[in-house]
Amino acid sequence: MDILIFQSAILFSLLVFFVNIRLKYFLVLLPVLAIIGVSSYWAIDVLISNQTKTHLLSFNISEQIFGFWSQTPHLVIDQISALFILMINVVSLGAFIYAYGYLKKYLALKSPLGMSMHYFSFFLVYISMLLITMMREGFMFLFVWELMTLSAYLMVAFHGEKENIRKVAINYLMQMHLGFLFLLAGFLIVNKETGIWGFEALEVYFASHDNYLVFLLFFVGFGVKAGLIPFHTWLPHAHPAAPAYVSATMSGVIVKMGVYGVLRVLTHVQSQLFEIGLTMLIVSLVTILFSISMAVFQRDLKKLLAYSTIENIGIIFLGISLSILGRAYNVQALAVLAMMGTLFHVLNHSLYKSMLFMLCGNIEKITNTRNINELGGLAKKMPFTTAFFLLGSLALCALPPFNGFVGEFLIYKGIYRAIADGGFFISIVAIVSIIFMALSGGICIYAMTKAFGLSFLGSSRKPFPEPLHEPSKSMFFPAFLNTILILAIGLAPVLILPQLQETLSAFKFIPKSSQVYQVQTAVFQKFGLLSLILITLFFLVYLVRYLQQKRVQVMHGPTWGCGYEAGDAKHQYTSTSYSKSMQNIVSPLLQETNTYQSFEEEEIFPGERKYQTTVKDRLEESVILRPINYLLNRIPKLGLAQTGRIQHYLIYPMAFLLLIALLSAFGII
Amino acid sequence: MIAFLLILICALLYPGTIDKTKAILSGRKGPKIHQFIFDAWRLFKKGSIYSDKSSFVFQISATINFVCLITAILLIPFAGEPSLFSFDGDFVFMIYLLGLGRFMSVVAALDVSSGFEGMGANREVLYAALLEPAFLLLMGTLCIFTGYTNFNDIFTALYADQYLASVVIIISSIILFLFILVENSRIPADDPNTHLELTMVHEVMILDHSGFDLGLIKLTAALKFAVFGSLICNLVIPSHFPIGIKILLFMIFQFALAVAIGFIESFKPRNKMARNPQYIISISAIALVLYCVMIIIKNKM
Repeated sequence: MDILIFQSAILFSLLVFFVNIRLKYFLVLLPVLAIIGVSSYWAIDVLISNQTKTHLLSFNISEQIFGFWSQTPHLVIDQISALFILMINVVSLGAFIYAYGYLKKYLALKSPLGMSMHYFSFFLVYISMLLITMMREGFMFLFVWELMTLSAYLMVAFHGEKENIRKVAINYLMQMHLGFLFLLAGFLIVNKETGIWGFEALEVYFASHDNYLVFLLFFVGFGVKAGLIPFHTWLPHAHPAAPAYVSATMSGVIVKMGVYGVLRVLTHVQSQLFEIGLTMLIVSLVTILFSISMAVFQRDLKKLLAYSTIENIGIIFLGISLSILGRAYNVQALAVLAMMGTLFHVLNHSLYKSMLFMLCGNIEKITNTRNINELGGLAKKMPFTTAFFLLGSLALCALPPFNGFVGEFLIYKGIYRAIADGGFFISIVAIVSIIFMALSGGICIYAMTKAFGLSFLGSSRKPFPEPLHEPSKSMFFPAFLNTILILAIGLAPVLILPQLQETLSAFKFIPKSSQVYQVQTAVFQKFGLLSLILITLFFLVYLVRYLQQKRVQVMHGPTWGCGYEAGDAKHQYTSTSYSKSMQNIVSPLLQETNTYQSFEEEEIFPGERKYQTTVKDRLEESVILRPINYLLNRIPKLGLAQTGRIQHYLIYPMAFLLLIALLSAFGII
Repeated sequence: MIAFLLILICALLYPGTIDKTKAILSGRKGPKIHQFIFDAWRLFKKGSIYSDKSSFVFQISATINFVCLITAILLIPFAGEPSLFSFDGDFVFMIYLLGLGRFMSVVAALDVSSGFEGMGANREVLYAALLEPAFLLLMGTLCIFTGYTNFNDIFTALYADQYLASVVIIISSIILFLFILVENSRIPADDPNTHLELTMVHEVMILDHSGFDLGLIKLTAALKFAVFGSLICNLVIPSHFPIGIKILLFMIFQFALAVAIGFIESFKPRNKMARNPQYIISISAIALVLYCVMIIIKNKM
């Protein structure tokens, strides 16, 4: 029954191409809701019974489309898949409902076919993400992986009439395919040695062959999707280019598919844990610090959040690598706690980040800008958006009592346990991780106070096209949904601890220890109690304050200006000036260009001036742009042989044949 | 519970003691040591004036900041007497609670749309970001030394090895002392008595707070002193002493700390603003050196 609903919902979604433009949305929403129901049921079933479940699709996509693959695809759901399925469902549900309000104004602007394509690709992204977590068989996995990439490309290119957005979308597509090649290579190598296609082959392969190199192939392949440095360059461009709910889906779950892939490969890894862990550790540490430093300098709100996504992915991979290193050095607590923290963080990040991206969409819809330097003063007219954004920012900065803190706390706790128990090497690894995490945590507060404080608070820096007001109610649905979950996980992480414990049992390298869980349950209970005390105290003190304010005289007046009366919005700090004090420290990472026209000496009454300052990611410059420009300059020189004359072209095969003949005559080949 | 009460009492006397020390050293008579209690009480009874530009964030920030500090005190033990809440990694919880308070105070500063307060806000977050590793590194050192990962066990187990402990305690106390000076925005990183907004860090952020909120902010700053001061006391007071002597020692050390801060404020100039990041990072560097020494001492190599 459930599989039937699943399949018919997929087919049903095709109807979107044949109905009126106003109905299209509902024709996609309906199958999505059906699939969310079915897949959540499957996932919860797996988590409750703690067993891997298999479902059989009755039609064989690959055979019907490609005609040469005869194996019926199985949908295998284990505990890791279940966790990711639930996460995808929550984020996608929010995004789908949000899309209704967001797309309203485009119904008149876009062609019906364009809208159908957009809705359908949104549906495809959702369904392919689900299938990625369920497919174990190599060919089908790569097929749905590619399906996700392509449909995400179509979604990013929603505003494709703009040249720069087309460019960004194609950049995304090319980088994804680079990553795809690595995955393909990984599967092919494993297939050649074992004769099996898919993740099961890894089990056989890793038992008898070198683990490190094949893992590295998969790590690079999935790392491009996850946005690890130095493969991050697509991410800060693609997120801002897409509509808000698309960026929310991308940042919330699509990049997590990279994490899923690495986790899936790791469930089979058996040896060389040290090398694997160390490689991942170095990559993730660089990712964390570099990306969060870059986030401080962004003035596009979405780009800032995109860089922060890279940082969070770095933290997730840091947790994974610490867990592996903990196993390699037999520090049981680190292995368990770091991986548990990672799983928490995967879940938590998708909740608050998708919410923040959609709230950015609210701002963009009302003000038509995402530039921090043009925003400001939204708090009074958009109180709900402001409150939700504040909550999301606090969760993003990993501050208690919100959910972001739980994951980082577990990783910290594992690290300190490792310091207390571990040997020389693990102590060094631990302290380096602490320095990086502490610094990035502080800089994250820097970035988010900037994002929240400058764009929502103060007074508006530029006049807005329409008077500020809250957007329609459907655009708050994800914020409500995610806020409930953020608070639930933040206050009572103990609720989902048993589920994560089951997920952990899927990893072979993690020792099974019930003791750590019992201790952790007790810690989380105290933790929750402390958070409750914090909140209760807040309400108590605020009540006292409220009563006091009723008794005394409360006045309103201008801001303190040191005697200067004519202070206005232009005197506020801007995005650039707010990040200036940080810029002096991290200037080697940045490439700052200032364009301005200097004052002439004879200019007595200078006119209006423009001063533009741009800060660029130096890694992007040196890893992507410079090599590409180098190639673009060099490749035309190869065109020397391409003369356009048929006589010349005939010489080439002649020369080749002659060469072969000579070589075989002398017995070289 | 005892730590909670003692910290509250100390907090109320901290600002007065520092001011009194500074006054005596500069040849003035100075206010009474408990003057701060009257000041705070007067502020709590006063009316408020809010900026037209400010929003609801401004209204809740001081309260949240205060509540964070109160909650943080629940985690602090008293030299061998357990704290109200104790779990592995509680110091991480504490430092992140302070982070929550800081986040709120910074956004409140940005809420009044003043150039001055933005200036203080971005300096404050930068210094905090650079300072945070110092505390977490120091806790790492104590973890490696004692083999425990929560305040209670660390401070109880500290005296197991008398000779080594003295070295660790002295250097850790120095690091914590330097940490306190920066965390509480005192000289040499920041000067609470400076007369120019352009050179302030913390003080400029609270220019627009008044009445009840200002009282809470002053109280929060005093509590911050007492919280970190009590960590130093936890380090230096042996846990096996009888409780009466421990209380006495606690008060003496807190008093000495306040006097020491007064001394430093009287004789040391503040850093140039551009030198501050370097100064703050150097605190982390000292903590890192201590950590490396500890790895060698504990024969981990």
